[in-house]
Amino acid sequence: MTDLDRVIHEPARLLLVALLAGVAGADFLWLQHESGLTKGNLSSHLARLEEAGYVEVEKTFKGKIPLTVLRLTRAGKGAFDRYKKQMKGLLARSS
Amino acid sequence: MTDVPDLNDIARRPTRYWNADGLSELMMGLLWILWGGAWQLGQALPRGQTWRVYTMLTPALLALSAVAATWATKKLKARITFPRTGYVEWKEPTGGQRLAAAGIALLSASALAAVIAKSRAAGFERVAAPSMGVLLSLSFLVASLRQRAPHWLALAGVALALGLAFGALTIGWDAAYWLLMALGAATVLVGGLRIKWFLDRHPLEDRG
Repeated sequence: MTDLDRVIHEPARLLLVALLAGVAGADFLWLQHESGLTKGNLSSHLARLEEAGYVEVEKTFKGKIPLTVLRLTRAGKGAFDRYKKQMKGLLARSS
Repeated sequence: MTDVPDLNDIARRPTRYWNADGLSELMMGLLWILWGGAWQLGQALPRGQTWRVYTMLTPALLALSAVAATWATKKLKARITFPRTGYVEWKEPTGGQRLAAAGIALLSASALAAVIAKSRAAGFERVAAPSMGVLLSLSFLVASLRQRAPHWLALAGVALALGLAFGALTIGWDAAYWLLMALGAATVLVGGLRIKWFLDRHPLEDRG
């Protein structure tokens, strides 16, 4: 368990990373709807992921409406893939 | 939020989100009505120069209508869905996925063309509607199970019932065209109801 990435291993952040891994990008509202997290909780987890370099934030416009799109970075994708492999390995060993 | 999330389930959520609002059913239904109607119109036209031009142009126009429907669905999602439940950029298919889709489409089209070419002697037009009904019903069934969308189970039942009913009428190819139009109307109805439910459940909030 000591090798597991602690940033991703936290269930809420794992959920966010897994959600972002399935899309090219998404906004705060979609992540909030899908994760069921409160705004404050979601913000703090996203800040932690951004700090780790796993998520990038792009501020853009859709027509005249401002839009903040969140994406998983290359490092984030790599970390998520590594985490899944490690978990599979752990589960295989325990069964 | 202490439970470990089911990663396989989460991986399917973006696809489910595409179908969350009923817009895709609405567009699919409209497409089927258009396709069925266009082929039915072709049958009704008197054979001649106009008919030849019509039958030559129709397949390309119908193929184009599928592209237009995808474009329109995306535009409608930007206006209706995204302001309510959030914006998503879906992943573009990879080169391999595009190639596989093109291969399947080419194989299906070739098989269909071969079946139609041999159909006059074999009387395929009599089984076209039930076959289409069964195929569409199976597609709805698989999609329903994969996407956890129980309303598609109802559409699977409707497709099967309509296929068998129109097949029993023994009206040749018309049965297949009427099946498309009737199933299209049912799908539009389901799509319309689901859009209404979606709008009721997700009122527009002030995001400022």
